[in-house]
Amino acid sequence: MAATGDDYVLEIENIGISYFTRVGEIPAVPDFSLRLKRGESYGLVGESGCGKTTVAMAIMNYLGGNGGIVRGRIRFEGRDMAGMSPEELRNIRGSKISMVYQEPMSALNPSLTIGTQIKEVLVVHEGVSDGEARDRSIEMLRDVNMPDPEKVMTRYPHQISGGQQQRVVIAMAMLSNPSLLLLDEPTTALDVTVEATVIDLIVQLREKFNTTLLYISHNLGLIVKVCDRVGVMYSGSMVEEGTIREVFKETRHPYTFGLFDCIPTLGVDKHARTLQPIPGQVSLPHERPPGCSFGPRCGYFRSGTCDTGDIALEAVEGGSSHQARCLRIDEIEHVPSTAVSEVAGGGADTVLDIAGMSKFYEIADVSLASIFSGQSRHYVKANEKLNFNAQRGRTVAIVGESGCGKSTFAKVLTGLETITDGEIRFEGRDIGAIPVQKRDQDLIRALQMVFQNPDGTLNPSHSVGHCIGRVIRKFGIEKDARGIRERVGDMLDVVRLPRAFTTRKPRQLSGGQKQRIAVARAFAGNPSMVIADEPVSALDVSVQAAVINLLNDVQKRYNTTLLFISHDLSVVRFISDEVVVMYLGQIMEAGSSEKIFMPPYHPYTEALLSAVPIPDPDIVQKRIRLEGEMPSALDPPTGCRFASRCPRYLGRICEEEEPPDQDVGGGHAIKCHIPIGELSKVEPIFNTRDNAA
Amino acid sequence: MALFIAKRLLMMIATMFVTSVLVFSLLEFTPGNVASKTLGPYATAAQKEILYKKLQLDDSLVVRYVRWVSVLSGISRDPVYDPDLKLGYKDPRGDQYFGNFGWSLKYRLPVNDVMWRRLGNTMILAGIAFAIIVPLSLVFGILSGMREGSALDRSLSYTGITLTSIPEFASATFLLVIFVLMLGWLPGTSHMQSFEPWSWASQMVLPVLVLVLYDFGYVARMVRGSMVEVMTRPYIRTAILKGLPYRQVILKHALRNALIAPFTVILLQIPFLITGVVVTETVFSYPGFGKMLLEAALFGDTAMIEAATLIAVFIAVMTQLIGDVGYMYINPRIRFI
Amino acid sequence: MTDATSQAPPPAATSAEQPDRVGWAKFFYSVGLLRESPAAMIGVGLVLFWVLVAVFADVITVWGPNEHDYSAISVPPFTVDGHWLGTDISGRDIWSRLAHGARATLTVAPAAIFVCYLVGITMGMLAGYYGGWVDSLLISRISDIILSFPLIILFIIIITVFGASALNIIVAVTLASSPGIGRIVRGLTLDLRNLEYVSAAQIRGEKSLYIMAVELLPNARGPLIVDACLRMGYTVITIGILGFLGLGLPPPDPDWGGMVSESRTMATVPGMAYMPIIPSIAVSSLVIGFNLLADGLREISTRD
Repeated sequence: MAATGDDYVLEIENIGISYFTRVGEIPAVPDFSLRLKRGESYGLVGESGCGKTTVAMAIMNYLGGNGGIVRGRIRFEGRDMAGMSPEELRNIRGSKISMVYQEPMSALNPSLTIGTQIKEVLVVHEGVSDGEARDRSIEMLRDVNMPDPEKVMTRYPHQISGGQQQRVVIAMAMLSNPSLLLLDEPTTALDVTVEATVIDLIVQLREKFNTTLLYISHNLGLIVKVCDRVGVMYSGSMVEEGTIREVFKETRHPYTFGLFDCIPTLGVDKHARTLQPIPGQVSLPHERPPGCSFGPRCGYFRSGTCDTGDIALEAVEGGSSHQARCLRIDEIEHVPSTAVSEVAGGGADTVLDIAGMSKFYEIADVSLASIFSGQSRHYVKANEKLNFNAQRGRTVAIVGESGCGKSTFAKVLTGLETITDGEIRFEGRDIGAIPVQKRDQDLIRALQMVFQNPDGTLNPSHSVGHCIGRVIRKFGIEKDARGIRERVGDMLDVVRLPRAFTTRKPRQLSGGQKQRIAVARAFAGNPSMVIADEPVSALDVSVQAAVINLLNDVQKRYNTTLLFISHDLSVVRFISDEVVVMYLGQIMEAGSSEKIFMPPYHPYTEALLSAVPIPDPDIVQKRIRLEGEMPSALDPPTGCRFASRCPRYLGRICEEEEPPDQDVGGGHAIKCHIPIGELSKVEPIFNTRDNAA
Repeated sequence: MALFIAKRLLMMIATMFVTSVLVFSLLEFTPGNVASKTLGPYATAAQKEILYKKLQLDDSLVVRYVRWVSVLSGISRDPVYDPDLKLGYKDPRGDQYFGNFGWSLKYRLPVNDVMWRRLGNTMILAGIAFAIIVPLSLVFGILSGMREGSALDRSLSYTGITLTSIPEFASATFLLVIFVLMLGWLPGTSHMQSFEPWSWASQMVLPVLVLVLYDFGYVARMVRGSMVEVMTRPYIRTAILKGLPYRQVILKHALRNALIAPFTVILLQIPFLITGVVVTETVFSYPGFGKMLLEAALFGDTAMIEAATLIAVFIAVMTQLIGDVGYMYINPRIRFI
Repeated sequence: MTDATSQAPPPAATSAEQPDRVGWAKFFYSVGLLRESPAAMIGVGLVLFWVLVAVFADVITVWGPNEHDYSAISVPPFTVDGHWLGTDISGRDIWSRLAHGARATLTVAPAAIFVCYLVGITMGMLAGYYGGWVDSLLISRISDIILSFPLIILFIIIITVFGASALNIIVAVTLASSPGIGRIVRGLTLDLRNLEYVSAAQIRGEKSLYIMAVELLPNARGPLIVDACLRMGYTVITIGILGFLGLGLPPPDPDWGGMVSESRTMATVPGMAYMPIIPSIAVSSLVIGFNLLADGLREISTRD
């Protein structure tokens, strides 16, 4: 197919990768091919467990003691990697092929300085002197936009922020000017505004050094920003491949359609359409069905066709390099679902009213300096003067990056912490000062919570039945064993899980199932408000959609108020009626969902929106990037909390005076010194490419 | 840092105070014993009564503890040296000096004349054992932890388990049977008084061997465990995928981190060896600190037990302090708190 | 491959359809897993052997443990009928003393471990769950002081002051071991305390006692069982050492350490060495049994 003379950096030909365990051989990747042209940027997407990281590790020839390439071959710059001696392999690693990892903190050695760790790449591969290595390392750190590189060289990894750690890892990878750079979910552990700057950096470095990139991610939006071509993986196989535009706009494979249908896109909310989760779950590597591995979950599955024999990647007509692994490629005409399910309307009845609420933690300073200065008390201002309210049956989202105080707020509401100042009125009662131990049963019952991490949310020692039943017994919904059992069954029906799950232990459930049980547990006592703290952020997108739909349904059924805490603006836009944007313990902007996502924006909201990855090549975003780091909540800056990073910083007034809450109208408020008139003049963040052109 | 050490020193003094109070109250709860032990079994009730009065043993526990501390710190005289008592006790250092631990009933000498020499003997024994145990367990622990599940790892693992499972009195028995009874290579006792026909070194071999066998497996397994855990860390993957030679990955990246956790364990072997040698010393009649302590305890020699426990606790807390400071030094994550 | 370090785990091999095992079925399943490790099976065998010997000590012996057979003094093993393992210098049957010694050891050691865990778990749970001053009192103060006290000296003082008896051995072992257990439990509690299911329990207003007993303790079970097994071994050693130093169970009742101590001068006497060797082997084998079992249990608990 490919024209001769093409310069391929990497050619993977039909490799099979297996792990060997007690249970036998596990074919993680049965058959995988990929060719990367020099200078190209290729994105590999797929959900967890689809084998994308395994492929990256196979390229590095690093599969651990129990993994190995069982067939096929990998050629790097024309040379078969299987035939290389350990010494040759070592010379390639870190110089010709280098890698950037998901967790920068754990990828760096905690007990060596950054300088030591960067320099050794040059010393080992190019044999340069220590001084030269140091100079070149500092230069590289400058290239990755590291502030104060000389100083960073002497620091230990734990002394710099997560974003900076990732810059160090990138600098280390780029130092020898590799011909291939593997990036394995490099921004997944980072906050969205930091992610945006790291992504910019990757794009910028690629242009500067003309490096070939293999970018692995589960996030379609990031692939659009970084890559030219994209491959979609499912259960160890490539199911569709092509240029970004081909795959995103001329989608052919049912799994790829499925992915697009289950992610919320900015601008679309629950009133406009429902998300379409992909039914079922990925089959385990040693239990793959014959024929198409996506078959059991595919809406276009045809028995007798799709489940016999291996299916090859076939070229899609009219595409340059567009291929899909589907037999019915020419028959399927995908129509995106426009189904709208009824969602909770909500009423004028105020359930929660937060007025001037503050939560400070007192920190005793034990350093010598503080003893001499006599100033040994400091305050972490986790929440300061929060004001907002929530109506019955509505969904209010609290948005912000890590450290903004949203989790503290959940703790205060549920009574795990008590407030320092102000009040929290819940159904008319001031509950801010009542810790959970002193709350009466009705109050506790009325206010329940769903947590982020599906693996931590259920006690591994107890069965599903015990877990839901305990809530029912505790709140006196049912008294006798029979009634409780019945009610547990009902709740399982509500979250659409089979009743037989009662006896299961959490380790027998998938992440999505665990999260459904958590929803059942939260709603089992008929609460009037449920706090959902990042309930879907640890889930794969196809499962995420199902849990979001479930939350909507259950909310409607019980007319519950939902307080949805999240950092994911696309999800927030989809699910919420009202949005509260927080930064460093304070509310920056609050209002209805549509208003928050349109001008006038608070400068911080504007930066957040600009950073959201959008899985659509036709949408262009205005580029606003935040400098520096979020200051510490310990003795935070006076004046505007956002002043130190604000791209629209006015002057001293921002640092010295606390900005007013400016009313925009219709319940929309912006805390900023810039007049509303001025803020209203900005363009919307999002534009389609046609409009921009 | 200075504050941290100051705090720890304060804690150390508090610990020594508390333990000395506890030991003192346990041992001297029934003060009558002291009088009868001092005079021996043939003394009359009247003689005991006089001594009891003279030594003011009917005072409350608190008063007696304060007196003990003031004798120890050289503030007051030790009443047992009063010539009026006609006990014939004599301390060449006088009856009032700092560090006066009193008179040992068991050895019929001032405590200071016995204890330090015995402690010295034990330190020689423990020192040799420590000098063998540490490098040996480091080397084996690291080699086997480097490749978890390898043949070396497995054999070391089971050897370690077996060795730590054999109590010192049992391994001493086995060694005696092999090297003394069957082979006749070594002496069966190590009294360290005359070196004929067995040399000093030959007398040391078996006691040291017993300690090494018992302790080596434990320390080596600790080191191995830490090394295994470090080898699974992503930063080791980073180092390998950077293209570093394997030697450098181990020596520069793994070792430093792998030694952080066992560091404290290794240091704790010092107090363990110094006080834990009781059994070994008893088996080989080695004139050490542990054997002395046991003999004193069985005899009811309170002055000696109090002195010896205070010293033992001092050694333990001192090692802990050194351990904590050293830990901060080798672990950059907690260096500047 | 030269750098065969362990790396990303292979895809989950445990299927969601794994059958659910409860109660005894689960117990037998776990024991079944132990079968894969020969070393662990040796451990099970050794421990089981001594447990059976202890239980049936009266049935499997001809002579009483303190009975003197003056017609057979110092007879070596396997030479005289009725004295399989021979007799000691005063004509007592070594096999009988060994069996009754096993009974003493395997009564005192589990009792001591039980009490240790009762105290240690309470301390550790309270310290880990409440933190703050409870933590610093229980762990930083009380435990640190006890732990900095040399163990053997602690034993010697307790036993010489209060006298040698099974109860005092238990007291001494508890005092010595519970701070260590407390620290382990505290560590486990700290790890678990911040998990979401604990927050969920707090949010639904569960009492602290319920959270500690129902939500936390069952999940600390695995490491604690392994630790208890190890501690059983060390407690057997401790009991042996106390017996050896003459601080064990009051004579003439047999205990293994005491048997070694009584005959230790025989180790270098030709033809008599079996007297200290036999009880030495007995103690070592029981401790090896516990340690191998602990190692096997740790292996299967980290595997699943």
